[in-house]
Amino acid sequence: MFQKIKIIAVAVGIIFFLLSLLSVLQFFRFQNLLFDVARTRVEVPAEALKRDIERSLATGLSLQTNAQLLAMLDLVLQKNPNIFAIQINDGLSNNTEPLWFASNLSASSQNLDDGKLVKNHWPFFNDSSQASVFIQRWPIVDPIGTTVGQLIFTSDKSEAFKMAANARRELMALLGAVCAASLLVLVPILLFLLVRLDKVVIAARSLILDQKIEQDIVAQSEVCQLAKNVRDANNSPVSIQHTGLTT
Amino acid sequence: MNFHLHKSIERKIAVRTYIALLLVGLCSSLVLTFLMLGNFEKILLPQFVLKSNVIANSVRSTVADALKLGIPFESLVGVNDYLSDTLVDNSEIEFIEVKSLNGHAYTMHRNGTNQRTSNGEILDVIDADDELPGVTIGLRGSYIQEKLQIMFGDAAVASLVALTVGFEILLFFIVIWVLRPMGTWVSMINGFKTGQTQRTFSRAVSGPFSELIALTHQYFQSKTRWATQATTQNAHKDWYEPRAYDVRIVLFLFVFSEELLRSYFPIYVKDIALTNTWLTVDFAIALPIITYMLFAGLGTLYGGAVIERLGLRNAFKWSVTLSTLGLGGLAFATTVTEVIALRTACAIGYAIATVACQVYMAQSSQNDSETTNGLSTFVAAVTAASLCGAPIGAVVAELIGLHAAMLFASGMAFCSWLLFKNLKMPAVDLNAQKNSADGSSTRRNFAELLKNRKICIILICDVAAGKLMLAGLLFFLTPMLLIQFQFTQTSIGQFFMFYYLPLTLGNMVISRSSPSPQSKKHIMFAGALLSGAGTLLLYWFNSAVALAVAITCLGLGQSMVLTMASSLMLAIAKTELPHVSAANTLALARTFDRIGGIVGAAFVAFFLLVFDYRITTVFLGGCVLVLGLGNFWLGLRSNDVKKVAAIK
Repeated sequence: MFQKIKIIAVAVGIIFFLLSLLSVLQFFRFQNLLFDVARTRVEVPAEALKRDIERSLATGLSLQTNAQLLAMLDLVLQKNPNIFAIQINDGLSNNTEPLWFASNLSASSQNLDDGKLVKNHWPFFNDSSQASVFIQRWPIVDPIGTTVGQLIFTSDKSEAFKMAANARRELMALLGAVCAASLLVLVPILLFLLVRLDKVVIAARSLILDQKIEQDIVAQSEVCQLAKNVRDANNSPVSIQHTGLTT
Repeated sequence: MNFHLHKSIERKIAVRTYIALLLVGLCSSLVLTFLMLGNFEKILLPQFVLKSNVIANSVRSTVADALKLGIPFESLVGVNDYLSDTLVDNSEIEFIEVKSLNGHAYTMHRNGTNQRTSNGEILDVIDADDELPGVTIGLRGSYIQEKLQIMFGDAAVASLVALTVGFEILLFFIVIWVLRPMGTWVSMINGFKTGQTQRTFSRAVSGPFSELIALTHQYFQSKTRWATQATTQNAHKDWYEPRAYDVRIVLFLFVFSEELLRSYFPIYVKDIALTNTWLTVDFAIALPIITYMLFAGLGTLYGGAVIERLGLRNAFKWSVTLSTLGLGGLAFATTVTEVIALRTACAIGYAIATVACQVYMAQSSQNDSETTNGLSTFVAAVTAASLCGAPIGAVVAELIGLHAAMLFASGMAFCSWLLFKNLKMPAVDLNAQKNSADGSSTRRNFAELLKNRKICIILICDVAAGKLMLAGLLFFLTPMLLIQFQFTQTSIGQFFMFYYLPLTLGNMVISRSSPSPQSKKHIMFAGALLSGAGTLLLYWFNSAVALAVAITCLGLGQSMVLTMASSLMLAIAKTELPHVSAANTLALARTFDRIGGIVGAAFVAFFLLVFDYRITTVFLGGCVLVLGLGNFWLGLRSNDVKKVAAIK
């Protein structure tokens, strides 16, 4: 029986592996799609703001001197609570300090960057997909085509994470149900086949031990044919001569 | 001991078990995929509606800004252009309508008309008020379905990968529980018949037939208890004689560990190179690939000698040690120099380990048919590992990060040793070893082969050109291009299937056909051209689809080239250089294969100094195409063809 359980466990394990790999792959595809949708939602006000900033550049106002920019950033933040912070960086100098910065968060979180809001601190897990915010960048181009600045949006990722976590939970439940269903289907079939194989093995053993058996099994079974060879070899005087035995 | 029981009970049970597993596996995958996609749709739909709401508000405030300037709603200019730009930016929207309180409306449909249609769109409506206009957005109902259909395609690829890995695991257990015990039993019965009864069991036999073997063993032992003598040679021999399939899982795991890196290695090196390199980034990516190819080539050439000196078991042990350390070390590498050094170790390990597996298979074969089976087992295990390595590696990298994925690959390589160390080594044919050791003429043979014009053309225009494309396009440019096309790690891994699937299917078709020597030349010529032709598409279309077509062409082309090139080279060598052994001819082909790989990576690195990824890919394809045209000089004169045909 233990042998049968081992064989069934391997077969079921392979099916579980197949289903798990499928689920993991699909989950990652879904998660990426979900993040994409969340990101493109931020793109809408960001593109509009970028257009407005570039229009103001066309009127002759520079990024450094246009005091209206801060009010524009605040307005976007007010209308979109999922956006945490917006900053405009100077694209012409090496200064990393933002020219304009508006945030829904506390002042200490000024100059947000990818590395700042990362959930997991283990070095092997610090890729950008684990960061708890989306950081998106758009170049600000003046009317003559020069990139004069960079518009950086930092938006909420936790909602997307929450949804991905819910989806993962549902997926796990689904995976469990499908695994259980395949277990219920597979186990009786395999048991039936193994019982049939058992019959062959029992017939072969009987053959070796010179006991009575059903002839139709012997005719159709390769194992029984081998067992017959064992019996014949044992009964054959040739084998005894070969082994140098005396009886 | 051959039986002609093609429909024996055991075979029926085996076939039914396999069918049951396959059906349950496929049906459950299908059910899971459908249910899963249904769930995803439920989550994604509100997100798209939310996005359309944001767009509606943005459109509304933009139009309101214009109205604030005092322009009447009816006289607004450029609203249609603005709406069509919004439609271009948001492919999920079918139409947008901006409506004033008095009923005047601007409507823009995806098909360019100003009509609002109703084809099952999901509507997001913001009503007009005294100050602001109303906006209606029609979301394409089929948009999410389209996205989910792509995911369904991915599920098919994932199922194929999982089935291939599952099949290899299944084969491993079949070897342990069925093939090995049956081999032992047959050997035992044959031994008893021929009088060689003094063999031993070096390992416990498991599986459903273990009881029969134990019984037979006891039975024979009782008969031979009073044996007067036993040959000393047999006394230490095991009943079980090693077979090629014993090493299959080992080879699979080992090659798999190396293939896991395929989808993310250039990206990983790029990350390191960006922070710490003394070269340009593209050269920094190319150098580890070039070094790998170089040392793998050298390892292949000298692998036989190393195995002869160390023995099969030790050679495999040291090569696994090198690979494990190399792959594991990559997780902690911080400079390109370290990466190059570690990849060198991996290459040497890989070359010697694969040669060791080939030698194991060759030594465990007792006749030509078993040798052929052994070679097909080798090809099957390597192909299966290549097929699964890239997609699974990508998933592992996404799950646990790139560094940990390297450690995972290292663990896989080590597991291959755990399985190998328990294998019984085949008995070494001392005469054969002596002959192979007597290889002073090898270099002379290589020189003679290289002097032969036709062999030289095949080596350069087909073998090396194919590898040039493989190393340059698939191993180097593909991950970089896909990153540029904003593909995720998982998708990049799955993208490699565009190469391996056509290659496997093409090989299957070609192995079932037996073309004439002239047709072989034509097939090889077509394959060489096809390998490079696909990339030309990238000149006109800078898209992932064009890259997928290029890679598929490469896979199909290589399936046509690889078998035909070896077969033609062997036939030509047999006619024109009869004293040169087939082994030497194949070894030279393998060396050119590696040279192609080295040149491919170097070529790409040089071109990237001047051009971008896309143009470099086109140039690479163009070069392979030109090299493929070199097959014209192979000569399709009738006397050549007849000569080769006569040999066949």
